Amino acid sequence: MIITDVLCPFCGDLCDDIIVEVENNKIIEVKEACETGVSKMMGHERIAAPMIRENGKLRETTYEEAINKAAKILVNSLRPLIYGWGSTTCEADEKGIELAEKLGAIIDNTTSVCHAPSVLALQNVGLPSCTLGQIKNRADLIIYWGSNQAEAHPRHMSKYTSFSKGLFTKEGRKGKHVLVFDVRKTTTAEVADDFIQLDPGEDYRVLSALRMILAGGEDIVPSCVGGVPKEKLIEIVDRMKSSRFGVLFFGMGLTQSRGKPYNVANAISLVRELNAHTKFAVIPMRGHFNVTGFNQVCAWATGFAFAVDFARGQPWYNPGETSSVDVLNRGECDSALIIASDPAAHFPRKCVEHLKKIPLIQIDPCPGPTTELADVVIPVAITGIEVEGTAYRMDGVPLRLRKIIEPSHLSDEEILSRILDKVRELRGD
Amino acid sequence: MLVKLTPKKAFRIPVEAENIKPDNFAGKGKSGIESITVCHGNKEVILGSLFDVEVKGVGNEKETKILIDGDASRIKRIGERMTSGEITINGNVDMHCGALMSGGKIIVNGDADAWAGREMRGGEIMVEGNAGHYLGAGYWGVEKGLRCGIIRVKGNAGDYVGEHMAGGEIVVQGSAGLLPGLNMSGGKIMIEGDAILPCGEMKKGIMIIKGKILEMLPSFRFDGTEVIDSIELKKFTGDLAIGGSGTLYANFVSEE
Ligand code: SF4
Repeated sequence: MIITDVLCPFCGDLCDDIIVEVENNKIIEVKEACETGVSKMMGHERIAAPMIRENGKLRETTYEEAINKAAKILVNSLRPLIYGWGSTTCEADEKGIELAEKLGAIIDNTTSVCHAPSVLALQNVGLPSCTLGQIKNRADLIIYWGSNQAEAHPRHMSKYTSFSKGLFTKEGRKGKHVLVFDVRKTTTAEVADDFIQLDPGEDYRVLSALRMILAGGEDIVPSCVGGVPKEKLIEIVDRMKSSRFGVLFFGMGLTQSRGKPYNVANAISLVRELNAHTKFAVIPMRGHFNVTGFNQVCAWATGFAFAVDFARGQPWYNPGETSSVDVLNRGECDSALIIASDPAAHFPRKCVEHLKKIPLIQIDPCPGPTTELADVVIPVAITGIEVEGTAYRMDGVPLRLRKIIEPSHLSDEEILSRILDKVRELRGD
Repeated sequence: MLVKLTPKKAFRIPVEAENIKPDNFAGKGKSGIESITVCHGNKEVILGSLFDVEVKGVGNEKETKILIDGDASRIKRIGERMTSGEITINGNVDMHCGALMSGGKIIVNGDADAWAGREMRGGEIMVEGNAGHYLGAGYWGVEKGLRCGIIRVKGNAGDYVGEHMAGGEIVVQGSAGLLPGLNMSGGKIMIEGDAILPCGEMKKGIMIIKGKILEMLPSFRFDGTEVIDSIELKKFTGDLAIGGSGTLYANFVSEE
């Protein structure tokens, strides 16, 4: 059976034109997706059954026992952390937030370690944005700042930006100017028209210089800022002003370099000011396919997009205080539930050390470094392959993930509902 | 009236103790103070279960002095919204110490963690050690950080000192980190040591850096020199990238 218009549940581009061939409830071929997408959709090693750690070893058990044990750990904690949500549905996110509220837990997603600064910045200065579709059809100036999407979002340039052809961009690559700002010459920079190499940590200063020039004060700007000559900066501002429709994409090169949220706010403010001259938009290059979705659900459920602490009953949000890395770094939490993410693989060492010390519950389809530390492991079906649901693309467009084959495990949403039921029962409400 | 609180143990899970302030303690006896609630993780507990409480004398909030005799590095929000009286902490203190306070005095005989004096409206905070990030700053999205009152730090301060500050005064006797005075719209910050990228998007206000500006923003205009506290300082105006008219004085600006 051939299924068309399938969504690829991997990166924030959430490509929706994938063709999948299924035979006997197995995916045998994936077309149109990039290499990463194909490999994700063809399947990986799975966790076969629920497991519980006893005497240092994981032993297989039933869903019921694993869920009961997870609920007990959470109910008995003073400061539980619920973290992950990179690769699951908005419906599961909703259940997770309900669980966090019931427990008085901290709930946080992977935003905390990638685009938290973007969220903080947009709360301060807004986000003049647009959809990827508009960019494909209209943008003639494409800027990537600290984002190597040639590797992180392989089809981004061909579908939406540099190489795509649209309604008013019929010439494709020829009619577009592509500019890359980065600290090193990335694969993305190699296919750009112009590469501006920044000295590390100089994003804020270079953005200030661009804004200063745009405001007409080029005589104040020194001859070289952050490794970029003043003449180059003036040329860039001229190019920005004379474009028909410009777009600035930024990645972790901007969000994670010193000054984090203020770099992003500075970049957004530049884009806002450019709109006095031409149409300009800005989009954060979000990583996993539904990190954006969690931010959306969390914002409409609690008022805040991530790092929400329910300890006092009402939500309190303060990245730097309630964000997972900070809570783990200070060794604050006394249990953790990790879902659809693998923090043991990408968190700072001190955080992983603390995860090792506390009771840890993992909900995931596939084994990874976090499984090695977990005390309760609950396998689930793969979202977007075996489970349908809602996901938000990096530009904030909600799309419907499809179920292509029958699942062999329960879904994230189902597991969370059952943990929530058990928590209610243990609490006697 | 003197109230001495001695923590019964070192906490790992933070205690949220905005109820520790003279306004709440005034006129109460030992058992009254012991039964005041604070939060430990997601549980509400009484002060008496976490601290040994000693009370000497009686008095109104103005006459109430609280002494936290021990480490408060996991006790947040001490003195939040206090209006008068005095709190002394004989050790380090956790985040939000003196946040939104409008009067009285807090003395920290140690280091203060992030957001000390956040959105403060009056009164005084004295930190004998170092201060963390966001000293005298505003909460996310809040337009005004420190509005009135004074914060003094004997040691160094972290990043974003006085972010969104609109009035009042901050004195850091050591150095400050990244982007002090960010988005400030009033008040005065004095840094006796060094600072990095001061006064980004500054609208109004005064920043004096007696040490070095280790890195300078490209959107400030040099406006000659002026003598302050008998030192000749360079005067800059900005942040011109946003049409700001703040004043930045510095002794020395590092060349690239
Ligand atoms: S670019 Fe991203 S969403 Fe598109 S196929 Fe590749 S991994 Fe999947």
